[in-house]
Amino acid sequence: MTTKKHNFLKKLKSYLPLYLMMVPGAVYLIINNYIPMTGIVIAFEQFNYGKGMWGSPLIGFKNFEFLFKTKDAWVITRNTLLYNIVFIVLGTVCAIAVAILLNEIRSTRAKKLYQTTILIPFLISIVVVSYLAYAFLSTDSGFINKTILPLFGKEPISWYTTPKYWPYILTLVHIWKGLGYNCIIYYATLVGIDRGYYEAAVIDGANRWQQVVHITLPSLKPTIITLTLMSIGRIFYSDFGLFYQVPMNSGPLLDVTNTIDTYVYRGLMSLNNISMASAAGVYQSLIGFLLVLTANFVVKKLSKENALF
Amino acid sequence: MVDRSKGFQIVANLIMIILVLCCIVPFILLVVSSFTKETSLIRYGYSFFPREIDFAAYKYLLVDSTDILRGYAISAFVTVVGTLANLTITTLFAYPLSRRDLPGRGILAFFLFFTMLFNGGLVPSYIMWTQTFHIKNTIAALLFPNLMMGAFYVIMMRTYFTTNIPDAVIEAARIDGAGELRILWQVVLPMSIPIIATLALLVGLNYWNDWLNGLYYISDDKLYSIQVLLNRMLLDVQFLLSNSEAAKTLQQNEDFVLPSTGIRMAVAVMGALPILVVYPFFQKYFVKGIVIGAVKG
Amino acid sequence: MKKFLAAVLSGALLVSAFAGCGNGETSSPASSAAENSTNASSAVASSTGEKDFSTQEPYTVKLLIPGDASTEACKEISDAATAILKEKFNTTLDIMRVGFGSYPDQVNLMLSSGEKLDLMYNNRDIFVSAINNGQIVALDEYLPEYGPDILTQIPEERWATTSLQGKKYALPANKEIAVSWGFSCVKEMADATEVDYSNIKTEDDLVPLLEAVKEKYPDVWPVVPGGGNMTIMNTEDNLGGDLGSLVDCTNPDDLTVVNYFASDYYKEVVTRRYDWVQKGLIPPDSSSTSDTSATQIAAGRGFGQFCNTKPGIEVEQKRSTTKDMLVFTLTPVYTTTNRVDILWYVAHNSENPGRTVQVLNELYINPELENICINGIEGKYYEFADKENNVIRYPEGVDGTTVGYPAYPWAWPNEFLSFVWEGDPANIWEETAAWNESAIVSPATGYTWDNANVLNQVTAVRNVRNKYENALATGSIDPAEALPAFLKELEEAGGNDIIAEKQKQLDEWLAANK
Repeated sequence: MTTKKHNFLKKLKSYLPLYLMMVPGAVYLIINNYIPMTGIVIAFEQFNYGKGMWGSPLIGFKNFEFLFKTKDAWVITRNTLLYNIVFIVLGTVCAIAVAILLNEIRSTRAKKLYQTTILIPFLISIVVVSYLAYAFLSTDSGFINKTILPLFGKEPISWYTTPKYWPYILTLVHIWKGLGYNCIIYYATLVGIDRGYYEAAVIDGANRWQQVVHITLPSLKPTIITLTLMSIGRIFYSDFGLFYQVPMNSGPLLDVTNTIDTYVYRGLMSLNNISMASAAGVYQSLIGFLLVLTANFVVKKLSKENALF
Repeated sequence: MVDRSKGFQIVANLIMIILVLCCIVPFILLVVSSFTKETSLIRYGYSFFPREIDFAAYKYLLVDSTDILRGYAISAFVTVVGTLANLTITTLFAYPLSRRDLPGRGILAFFLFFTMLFNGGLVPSYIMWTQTFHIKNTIAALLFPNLMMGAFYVIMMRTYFTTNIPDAVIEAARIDGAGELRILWQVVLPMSIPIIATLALLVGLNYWNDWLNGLYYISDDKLYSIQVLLNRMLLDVQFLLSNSEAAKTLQQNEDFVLPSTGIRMAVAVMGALPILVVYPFFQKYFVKGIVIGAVKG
Repeated sequence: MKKFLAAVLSGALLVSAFAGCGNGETSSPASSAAENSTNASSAVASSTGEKDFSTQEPYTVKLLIPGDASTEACKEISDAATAILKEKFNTTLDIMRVGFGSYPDQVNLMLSSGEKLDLMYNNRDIFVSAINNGQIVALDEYLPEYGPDILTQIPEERWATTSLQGKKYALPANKEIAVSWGFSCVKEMADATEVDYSNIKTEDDLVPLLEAVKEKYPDVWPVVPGGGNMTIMNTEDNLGGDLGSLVDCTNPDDLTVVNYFASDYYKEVVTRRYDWVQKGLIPPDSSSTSDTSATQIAAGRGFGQFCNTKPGIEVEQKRSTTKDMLVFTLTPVYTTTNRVDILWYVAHNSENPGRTVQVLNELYINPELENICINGIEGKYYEFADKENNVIRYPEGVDGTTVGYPAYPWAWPNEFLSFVWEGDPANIWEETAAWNESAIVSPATGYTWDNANVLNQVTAVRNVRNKYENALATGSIDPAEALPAFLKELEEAGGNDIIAEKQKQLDEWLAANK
C-alpha cells in the first residue's frame, strides 16, 4: 500500500515538468473560457441588468421554447445539419485532394504561387464575398445572366428568388472560401510523412494510386479524424455570414438558407433579449457536445489513439 | 512522389491552374471594382473592363493616411507578438498532451476540447476582461481575448506530435539524460517545423483579420488596428441595410450616405493586400522548414 | 495542483468580476438620496430666487450617442460643453460616440458590465424591453427637482408616448414626430417627359409618369428599392410592431387590431407592385439589392423612390442624390406612438440619475450647450454662412467625412435649438413644429406594446415576415401565390396570439386613458 502510493508519487514527480509546461495554457483557458462560461446561467434567467448575472430570477427552460415552438424548427435543424454534413465530407475530400496534388507538383515556384492564390478567398470578408456573388448572380446585371447564359441561348434566371439553386451555390462558396485554409493543414501533415515509405513502395512496384491509398491516406487518418470530430462538435452551428449575407437576406430563399443561427438572428433582432440569444447558444453547444461524445466513443472503440480525449 | 512523369505533372498543374483561376478571378474583379467609378458600378453592374476608372475610393480611405499607417503598424505588431505568444503556449500545452504515458491525459484533453464547444457569450467575457484585467483601450485588448490560445490549434499540434514523432525518439533522448524541456526544444520542435509553420500562418491570419476585439474593447481611435478601421465602415453599411426598426428610423431621419460600393471593395483590398505581399516571403521559410523536417523525420 | 490553482483563480476572479454588476443598482438610490437631501436644503435656502446648483458635489455624466467621431474631437467638444455645465452645476460632460453598426452591442456591454454610463440615445424599439430588463431608470423621481423645464415644456401627450404604467422612462427628442409617405423623383427627367404631374395623389396616379420615363429613358428604372425594401404608402399604426395594426389610424373610431397583411389595401399594393415589375417599372429581384435608393438615383440607375416626407425633404434628398428632386405626398400627415422615435434614457448604472437628468434638462433648453454638442466648435467644425439667421456650413476644406465629428441634430434631445445647415430653409424648425401640429393623431398614440408574454410567437412571426415582406413589397414575387402562403404561415407562427394580446393591452389602455 505505502510503496504503491510512493511509486505513484514518484511517477507524478517525474511528470511534473510536463504538467508545469501546461500551466500557462491552463490558466489562459480558465480565464478566457471557463470563468466566462458561468455566463451560461443567463440562458436560464430572465436577465435583469440591475440585478446582474447572479441576482436575476431563474425561469427554467422558458428561454429555449422559441427554438422549438415553431413550425420552422424542423426546417432550420434540417438545413443546419445537412449543410454541415455536406461541408464536412466535401470539404475534407477537396482539401485532401488538393493537398496531395500540391505535394506532387515539382516546380517550387509554381507550388508557392498555387498555395498563395488558393488562400485568397479566405482573406476576403464574407460581406465582400456576398458582393462578388451578387456580381455573378444579379438578375439584371450579373455575369451569368448577361454573359454566360446567352452564350448557351438560355433565358436569364432570377437567382435570388429561386431556392433550388442555393444548396449548390452555398456549398460552392463555402468550399471555395475554405479550401486554401483546410488544404494547408493537410499539406503540413503530408510533407511530414517519411519519404522512405514511398521509396519502398516504388521498389515494390506500387503505382501512384496505390501509394495514395496505402501510404498517404493512412498517414492522414489521424488528422482527418481529429478535424472531423472537431467539426461534429460544431455541427449545430452555421457560418452566419454564409447563410445570411451571401443570399442577400433574400426572403424567397429562406426555406433553403435559414439555419439555426440566422433564425435566431432574425427572430431576436432588436428584441434586446440576451437570455434567449444565450439559450440558443447553449442548445447548439449541447447537441454538438452529445454528438461529439458519441463519435469520440465510437472512435475510441475502433482506434484508441485517434480519439480526442 | 517518385513517378514524376511529365504527363502527370501537366495534368496536376492544369488542375491547380483552374483552381487558381477560380480564386484569383473574383479577386481581380474586386480590385477592378475598387477602381471603377461608383456611378457606373451601380448603373451597369460589376465589370472586368470598367467604363470609367476612378480613384475616389482610395482617396477617401487615405484621406488621413496617418490613421491607416498607424493601423497597419498596430496590426503588424499585434500579429507578430500574438502569434509568438500563441505558439509558445500552444506548444507547451500540446506536447505533454501528446505523450501517451501522461497520467490524466484524457481529462486534460477533455478540459481543452470542452472550451471549443461551450462559451458563456460576449457579456461575461467582457466583464471579465474589462473589470478584472482592465484591458479596455490598451493594446492588450487586441492580444488577449480569445486569440491567445485555441483548442483547435492545440489539438492539431498534438495530433501532429503523436503521428509524426515516434516514441522511440523521445525515449532515446530521455535515456541520454535530457530533461523534458530539452527534449521538446532539441528533439521534438526541429521535427515539427511543418506544423509550426502552418500554425504560425493560421494564427497569424487570425490575429491579422480580427476586428471584433478592437470593436468591443477599444474606443480610442489611436489604437484601432487596420481591420477595425476598415470593418467599422462595413458594419455601418450592414446595419443600415439590416431592415430593423432602428435602421428604418435612421433612414427616415436622414437619407444616410453610405460608404460607396467602391469603398467597400477598396477596404477588402487594403485588408488582404499586406498578407498577399508577405505570404510568399514567409513561404520561403515554410518550404525550407518542411525540407529540414522531412529529412530529419 | 491544477485543481487547486483553478479553484483559487476562479474564486478570486469570480468575486471581482461579477461583484461589479449589481453595484449600479445598490449604490445609486443611496447616493442619490444623499444628493437629494443636500440639494433639498440648498433649495430651501435659496427658495426666493433661482436655485443655485453650482455648489453641488463634482460629478461626471457620461453620454453615449451613435455616429463615428474621432476620440480627439469628442474630448474637445466635451470640454467645451463642460465649461458651461461646470459653472452652472459643477458637472463634467463626457461624450462618447460609437458607430451605428456597433451601437447596440456597445450599449449592451456597457449596461451589463457596470461600466460608467449615465445618459444615452436610443431608438424606440428597445423602449419596453429596456424597462423590463432593468436597463434604464424611471425619471419621475428626479424630474421635479432636476428637470423642471422638460417636465413642463414637453406636453403631457408627448410624455405619454415614453411612459409605461404611469411612469416616465425616457425623454422624447424634440424633432419631427409625424410622417406622411410619398414618392420622390428626379425633377429634370420628370419635366422632360412632359407628363402633367401636378395632380398625383395616389400610387396609381404615378403610372403615366413612370411609363413615360421608362419610354424616354429605357436604361433607367422608374422606381428603385432602398436596401431591398420599398415603403408602403399607408396610414397604418403598427402599434409598436411585431404584428397587429390599426389599418387606418386617421379614423379615430376604428380601434380593432388586425393583421395588416390580410387587409385589402395591402393586397392591392403588392399586386400593383408585382404588376409594375412585369411592366419593367421596378427592377426584378429588388429585394436582394444592397444599395440605397439614393445612391441608385445619384448614379442615374433610378428615377424615383418611395420615401417619407417632411419639411425640408427636397433639400435632404438633394444632398443624398445630388439632383433636384420632386416630392409627391401620397398620404395625409399622421402620428403614432412609434413616430416619437428617438428617446433619451438614463442608464441603470448611472451613479446619480438626478444629476444626469439635470444635464438632460439643460441640453433640452440651453441652445448654446445643445449647439456645442450637436455641431461642435465654431471655426473648426462649422462656420456661419449667415450669422443673423443662424445658418451654418462646414469650414473651408472640411466636409462631413473629414470633420471628425459628424452632426446629426435629430439624434439629440432638442434639434429645434440647433443652427440650421446651409441649404435648409432658415425657418425649418418652425415649419417642422407646425407640421407636427398639423398631423392627424392616431387614437392609440400613447399606447405602448409590450411583447413579453408572446416572445415565442414574436420570433417566429419575425422570421415569416422576413421571408415574405420585402419580396412582396418590391414586387419580386407573385402575390397570387405568395400572399395566401404568407398569411397561412403567419397564422401557424402564432400571429393570432400576438394580435389578441395586443388587442387586450390596447383595450386596457383605452379604458385607463379615456
